[in-house]
Amino acid sequence: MSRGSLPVLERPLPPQLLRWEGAVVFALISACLLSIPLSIGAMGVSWDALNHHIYLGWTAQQHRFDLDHLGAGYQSFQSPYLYWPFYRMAVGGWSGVSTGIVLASLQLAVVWPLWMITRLCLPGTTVFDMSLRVLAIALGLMSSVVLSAFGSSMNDVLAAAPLVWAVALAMKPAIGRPSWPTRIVMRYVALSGLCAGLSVAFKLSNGPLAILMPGLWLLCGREWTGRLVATLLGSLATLLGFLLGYGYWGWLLWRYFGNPVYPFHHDLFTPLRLWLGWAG
Amino acid sequence: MGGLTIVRFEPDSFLETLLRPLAMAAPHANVYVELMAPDFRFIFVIGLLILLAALFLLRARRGAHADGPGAMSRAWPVVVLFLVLAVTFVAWLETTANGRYFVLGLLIVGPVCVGLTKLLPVTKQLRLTLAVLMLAIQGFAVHQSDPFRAWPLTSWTEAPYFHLEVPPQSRTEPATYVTLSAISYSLVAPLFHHQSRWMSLHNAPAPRSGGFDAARTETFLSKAQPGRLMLFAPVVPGMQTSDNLPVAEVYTAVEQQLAPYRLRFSEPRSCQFLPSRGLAGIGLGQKTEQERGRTGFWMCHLTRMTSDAAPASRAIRHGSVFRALEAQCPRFFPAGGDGAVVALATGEMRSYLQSEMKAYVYDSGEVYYKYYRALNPVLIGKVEDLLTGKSRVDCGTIRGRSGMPWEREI
Repeated sequence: MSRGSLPVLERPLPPQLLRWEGAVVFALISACLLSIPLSIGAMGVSWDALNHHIYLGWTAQQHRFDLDHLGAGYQSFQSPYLYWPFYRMAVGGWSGVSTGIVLASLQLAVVWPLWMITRLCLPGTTVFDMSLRVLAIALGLMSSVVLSAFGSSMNDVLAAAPLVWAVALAMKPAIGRPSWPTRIVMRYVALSGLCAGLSVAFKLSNGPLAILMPGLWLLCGREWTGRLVATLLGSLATLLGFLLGYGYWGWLLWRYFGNPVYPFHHDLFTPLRLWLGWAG
Repeated sequence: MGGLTIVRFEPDSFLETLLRPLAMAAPHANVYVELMAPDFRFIFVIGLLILLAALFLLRARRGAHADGPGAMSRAWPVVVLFLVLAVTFVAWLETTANGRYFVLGLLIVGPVCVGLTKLLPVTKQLRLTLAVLMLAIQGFAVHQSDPFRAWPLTSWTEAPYFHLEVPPQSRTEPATYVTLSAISYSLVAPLFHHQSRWMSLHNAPAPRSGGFDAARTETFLSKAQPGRLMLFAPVVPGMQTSDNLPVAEVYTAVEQQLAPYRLRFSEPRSCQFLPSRGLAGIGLGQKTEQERGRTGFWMCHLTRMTSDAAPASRAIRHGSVFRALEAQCPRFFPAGGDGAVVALATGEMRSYLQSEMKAYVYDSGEVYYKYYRALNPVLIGKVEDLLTGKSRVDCGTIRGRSGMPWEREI
């Protein structure tokens, strides 16, 4: 049966389009999402931006624990690094629209892994298959919470990006390429763990969600031994990613407050403070 | 300090937990995130699962096994992604249940919906139609909630990012600044001398209040250089003199708030008005040019009182009532609250940040609570009734919080 005689939905897509599908989808979605700050024509300044976003970006550049106390309330202690671009553009005299576009561009980091996940779950080479994939990505992004981050300084989408990458990278060997050589599987798992750790470092609230990752790594590999090694590797990579993203900030909090996640669970660290002779 | 883990969006009962996917579709604010963000996609997932299960059972009853093992391998990626969504959903509900901390789930629920649709044993046309329909319904809900204007209180169009006329001396000389408002306005801190010191008194527990790490407040204030200790506060509209300085009532009210920190206005009083077009952009309604010109911040010199000069704090008279309340309903009134009981003109108040609740005991004998989303306080009963157990706060019906979104009263 020739291609032209097939119903539209059954027709195979040109190989070039399939090859570049990720880039095409990314470009289309990016154009839509970047139009949000453009259409608003300004950068939204929220309660949180007035209260702590700029301040945190400032402290990311140079901490202020030896000067301030609760300068931005209890929000002063959260990991500040993702706010640094916002702060730099603010004090650098950028316009609101330009700042909004740059921040939205950073948030686009969630689009590619979302497409990777979608491609794994909805494979196929026909018009029907690709239509479903595009609809799935659009439906994934169709959330007021997610879309409200574009054009504002809320960093929830940006902080979640490494976690979406972590899931996408783990799913690829887990369900997409079960026959891959162990070396490549482990590379994916290690990258996935690194991303998961970074996401928790950027926002501790990603921690409870990242607990699912060992479950995914357990699916990576053909034998149980390989799966257990993958899980161990992923967990160690998570720890490394967390230390890379949060280590310095956690150390500062420990140095000034005797608690690397200050002010949370302060009493839990009392024995450690006593044991290490932390004197404040 | 577990007290900083706010239970704002956590379900209060097993039923609320089960029905959260349904509640998320409601066009109400403060369901799983502060803004109105109706989300039908979790309902779609449940509906599709029920449909798939029903169709599977129907086919099994008819003895149709045409799908075979190939169907399972085709379904496996969707099953895995659904499990990822289910596990993260439960972990999310068990921790914060705040939508801003569930971006992963909010993103992957789209592919889960369409993936489940693809598994339906119907024609491709119908599957595609269902997917388009889900996108249309969800898209309509998102459009109606206008998410792009949900967070901003003001906007930043051109530089500077927030206009404030900072006095030259504040740019060139360090000082200690304390803020009082719920919003710290710390975004202006980089406009001041970088060695200046900042503290939000709204968050800082008063020294000797028993609040979390209150000793740090004392340490911070004791290091302030005399003559360089300032209050930085937004102007209260309608409470200005013709020079835009605070009226007498403001001084009185603010000094009451400063007293627990052994702070008072310097004598003679020395306040400055700092015009701010940034602040003028905040608020409902359009401001006139004159109103915009009168919007800004007050910067007032403060003095630290010696311990013996500070007014003696009033003895707590209603501590037993707060304790009774805390014993009855520890989820919303955790023992000890945020520290010291605050003396009011006609009673006492204790706040509970964890549950965003305040309890009031008035000298006239009435006891009230007020949840932050409720418009008015709720009468619990009389002091003696509460102490004897005749009156109890109903933890299952907290006004402004309990129940499904459409059942709540403000």
